[in-house]
Amino acid sequence: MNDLSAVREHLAAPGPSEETVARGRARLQRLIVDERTARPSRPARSARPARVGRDRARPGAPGLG
Amino acid sequence: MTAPPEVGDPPRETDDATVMSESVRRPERFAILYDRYFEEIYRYLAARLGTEAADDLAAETFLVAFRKRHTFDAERGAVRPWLYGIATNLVAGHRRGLVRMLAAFRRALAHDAIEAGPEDRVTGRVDAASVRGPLSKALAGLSAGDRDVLLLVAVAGLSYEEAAESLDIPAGTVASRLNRARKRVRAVLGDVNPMNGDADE
Repeated sequence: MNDLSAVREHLAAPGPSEETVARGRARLQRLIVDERTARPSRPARSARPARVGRDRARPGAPGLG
Repeated sequence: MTAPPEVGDPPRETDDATVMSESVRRPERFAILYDRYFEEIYRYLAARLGTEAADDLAAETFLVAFRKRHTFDAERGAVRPWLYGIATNLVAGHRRGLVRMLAAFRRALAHDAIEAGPEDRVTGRVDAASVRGPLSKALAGLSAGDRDVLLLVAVAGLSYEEAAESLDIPAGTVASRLNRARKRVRAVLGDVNPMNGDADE
């Protein structure tokens, strides 16, 4: 065993508990949700008139615009 | 209510740099990197600072990475060493916080025989808090820079190039720091094999 593997083996730490993993993931998820909430998920449209009513809910519908 | 992040995701085997790039517009993609690297980042931090600090700092590593993901440049290196660089910076911040705390503690308890010393000696003790025996002495005696390189290579298993990317230093500097650190470790270890039990176990 060389010195590097001695260091590695000697400092070997247990892995995280499931709770730790879940808690960290929940913190990240909150940040992700915050960001998704703070900005639109797709780029702003060009200067197209805003649609109203049913058409607004179906921006990709054929025959519109 | 936010849609589940898995919906419509590309296959999980997508490479790290692609995931990182996608996460700029689709932040939920970043969770893939968390799933891939949380455990090893945690182990690295736990080896350096103990499990209690790792509990918090491992998660913090990914929060910092998420906030900085726009600045990630795949031309300058891979995602994994980039994450280790963030984790290593957090170790330094943690040490500085402890050093400040210890300094305040010393001032408050001036009558106590708490020994003053250079920051590296104090932080070395803190950094090596999770180890015992001769290796803790060797690690405590290293400069912070030498210790970072040694532990990135020995514990995290990074290559010289990856360690250089992590710390944003030339590969030649990594080589010289590692060489110096290994000499110190070997000198302190002498004939002692740290795997053959610790006196203070």
